[in-house]
Amino acid sequence: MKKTLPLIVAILCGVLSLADFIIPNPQLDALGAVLVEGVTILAAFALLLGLLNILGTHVHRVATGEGSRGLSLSLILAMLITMAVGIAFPHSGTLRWIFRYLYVPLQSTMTALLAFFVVSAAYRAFRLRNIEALILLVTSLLVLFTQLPFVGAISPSLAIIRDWLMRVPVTAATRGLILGIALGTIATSLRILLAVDRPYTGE
Amino acid sequence: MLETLANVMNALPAGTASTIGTWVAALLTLAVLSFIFGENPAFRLAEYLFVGIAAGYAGALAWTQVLWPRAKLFLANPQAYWYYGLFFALGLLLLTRGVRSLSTLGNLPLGVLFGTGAGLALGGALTGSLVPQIEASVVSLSPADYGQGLVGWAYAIDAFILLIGTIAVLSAFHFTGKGQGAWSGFWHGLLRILQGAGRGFIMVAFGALLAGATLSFFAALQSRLAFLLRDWIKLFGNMGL
Amino acid sequence: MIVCPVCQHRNPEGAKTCEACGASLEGFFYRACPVCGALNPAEAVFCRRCLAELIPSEAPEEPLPPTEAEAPSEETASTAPPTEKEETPETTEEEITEEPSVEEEILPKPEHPPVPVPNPLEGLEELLPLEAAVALPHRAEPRQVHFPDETERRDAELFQQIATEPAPLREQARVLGTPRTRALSPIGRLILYILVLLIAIVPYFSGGFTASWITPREDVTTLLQSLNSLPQGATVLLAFDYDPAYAGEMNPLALDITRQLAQRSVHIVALSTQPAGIGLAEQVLRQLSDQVPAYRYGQSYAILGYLPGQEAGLRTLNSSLGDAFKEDYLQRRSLGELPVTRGLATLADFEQIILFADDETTVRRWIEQIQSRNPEIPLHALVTARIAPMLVPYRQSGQLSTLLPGTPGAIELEAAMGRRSFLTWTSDAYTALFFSLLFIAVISNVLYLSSTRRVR
Repeated sequence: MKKTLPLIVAILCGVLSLADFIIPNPQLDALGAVLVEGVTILAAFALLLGLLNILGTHVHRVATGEGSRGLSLSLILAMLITMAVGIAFPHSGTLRWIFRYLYVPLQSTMTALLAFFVVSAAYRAFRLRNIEALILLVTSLLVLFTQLPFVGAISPSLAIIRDWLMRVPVTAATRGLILGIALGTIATSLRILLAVDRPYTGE
Repeated sequence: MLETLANVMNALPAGTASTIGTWVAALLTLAVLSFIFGENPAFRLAEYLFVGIAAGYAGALAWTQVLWPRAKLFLANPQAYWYYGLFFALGLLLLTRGVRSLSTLGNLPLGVLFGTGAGLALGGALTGSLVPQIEASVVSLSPADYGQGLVGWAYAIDAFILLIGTIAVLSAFHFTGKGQGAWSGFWHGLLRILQGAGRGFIMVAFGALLAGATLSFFAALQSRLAFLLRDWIKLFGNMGL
Repeated sequence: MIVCPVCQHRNPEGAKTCEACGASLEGFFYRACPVCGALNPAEAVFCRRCLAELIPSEAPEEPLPPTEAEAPSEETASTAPPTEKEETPETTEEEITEEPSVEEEILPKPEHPPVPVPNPLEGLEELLPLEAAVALPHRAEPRQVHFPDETERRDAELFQQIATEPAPLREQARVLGTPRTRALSPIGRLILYILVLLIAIVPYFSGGFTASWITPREDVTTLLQSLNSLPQGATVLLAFDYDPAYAGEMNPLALDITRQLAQRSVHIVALSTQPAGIGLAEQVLRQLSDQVPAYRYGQSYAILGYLPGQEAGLRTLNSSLGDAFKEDYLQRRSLGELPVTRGLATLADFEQIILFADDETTVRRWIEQIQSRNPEIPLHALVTARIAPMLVPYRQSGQLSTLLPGTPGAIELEAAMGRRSFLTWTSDAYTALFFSLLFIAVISNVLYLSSTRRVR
């Protein structure tokens, strides 16, 4: 029962949402709408579960002294204060302050760091070790150059090269990737719908 | 306590919060940037703070935006919104995943999540990506369809490269086994050439992605430097430095 | 796996110093998210980008890409072409990484990891938006131990043959020099970092040298025309589906677009499928409200809020606006009470959808769940330059009405709207960036070739 019920429910939900996708029918639409809205509720619960897990890990660390207590404690405090402010005063200046002066600087500077690393990674990637490295070097420099906002003013043919690069070789490659991803998604979904894979039972 | 804090913040002279904020943001920016010199306690603290704030922010939104409005509706009118009750019950079961001894109870809501997700992803990939993208690949290779003379030929060659490139890239990661016989050997050889070409096309895409990533990361760096050089430094000016 | 904090090289568990650059790895651990590939601190339980469960403590370790220590196992070495065996240990050290292609993920996993080949993308995998190609959705679950059957074994052999087939220029790679010549020295790295900083501050000195030449590309003019064709009082749906990580690139673009809409008295209804996107929407729209005081919340624009559930969330939005959002974000009023959202029932009530995104999976989801069912509503994707190339096929097939990369896009949009702000000056920095990378490519190859000769 522990395993059969989730299995039946998963297959039913999958078939229902798929049928709703393919067959236009008002009753099916209504049922599908209830299901997908319910899933958004479950997704919110999944997010809370994630939060509780992080909290649990760090409370455990503070209690046992594993890792750095101070860091875990600061994480817990940051999480609890943000959450409390967010729930008690959802659109207060305080939440905006946290977002603007803590959240945004922290995360966007972490991306800014990558500017340094991508250049040192490029230093290595650009070495012409094989024909593939040569293709990589030439295209990345060419794309970088033709993406400059003023290349059209230097010569209209540069803009044409940029558009051609994107329209032909890059489209061909990424279309191949997109088709591959779509096929992969379909295969994985079918495995779940046919109960070959049962990620929900932890198997 | 939170209310007192909010009152205190409101009582401060105008601009105090933003001045403090700018300082805090500048110090955090510098703490994260310090990572280019290697791992250090300031970066580590910034990292932990970030995880805490991001998680807290997401949790608060999940509650105020998704759960609480629906809970209110359900409590006010359980008959009309019975299905919210059902999904809240499933959601509570999901939370039991956090307790090891009860975690099998969470399988049921996970079944709903995975089942629905699989159905929607399958339908979406089929109707939104696979079919339209295959349709878009099926184009005429005849120069006459594109125009007169060289222009027509140029477009036809483009269409040919596009088609061959797509097939080559697909073949670069979909394999068939090696069979027996001359025909199979020929086919195998052809496939290898195609796969080689596919790898070349993938490298072109990677080149474009590398260029794009470099631009994106630089835009992030520019915005952080603009903050430090303009907003933060301006505070020094205000202090008469 | 420990990802080196300095050069991003993947080192085997337990390494004390980075194999590629020698930096200390003490106390530094990262864990790659099995779903989206983002790097997380080792202690994280959930991915900080996608909130997927990283590795439950009782679950088996995620099967990591073959690391240097494990990759060339005895069996694989014996099946590899003899040329591979001649590699010096030093060469193996840096050259060998996982093959970042889709092959491994889609193929049945060969019994033994294939002998890795020199990988020009080394160190870049973490930086490029390849997660979707290499990780989705096959990496979502820890792989089961799988014993290949005869066909799969043949496939694996074939894969190995192709993976190890020497490319024309690979001959050189085998005789390459010592780790010292391939890894960047600390001084070299410092010089590179200083160079990066200098490039970034170029606009503060150059004063917008290139700004007057900016010419908007076709999609910028198409987008502007499309926005300008909207009748007064029409409503546009804006999805702020990006993180603060890319706020520097996307905020100026979002501000430009919303300003243009506000000036034409077009109404804006905003939402996000990411929590932090709501904070950014609020930031951008408040700024807009300050600049265009007549454009007021509730009257001219509204923020609906955060929509979780990925596909299911978008599917809900597709069936009814009222199902997806019970009340607005700022005033907590039902959608029927706000003048701007009154009368909006489904997506068909929007003239256009403008999507700001930093992740190609998000854009694909919008196309698959929303655009494919509402082909009559134009969908514009304004995305980070990092993911733009991955979406070009959707632009070409007409599923996206426009596709604009954030970095050059925002600059060209400003110019097309006749504004000469500091943003247009940053064009100088990107010019400097190009020439610096060109210079780096030359230096890198000169040093590389000279070291190759020395070893010979």
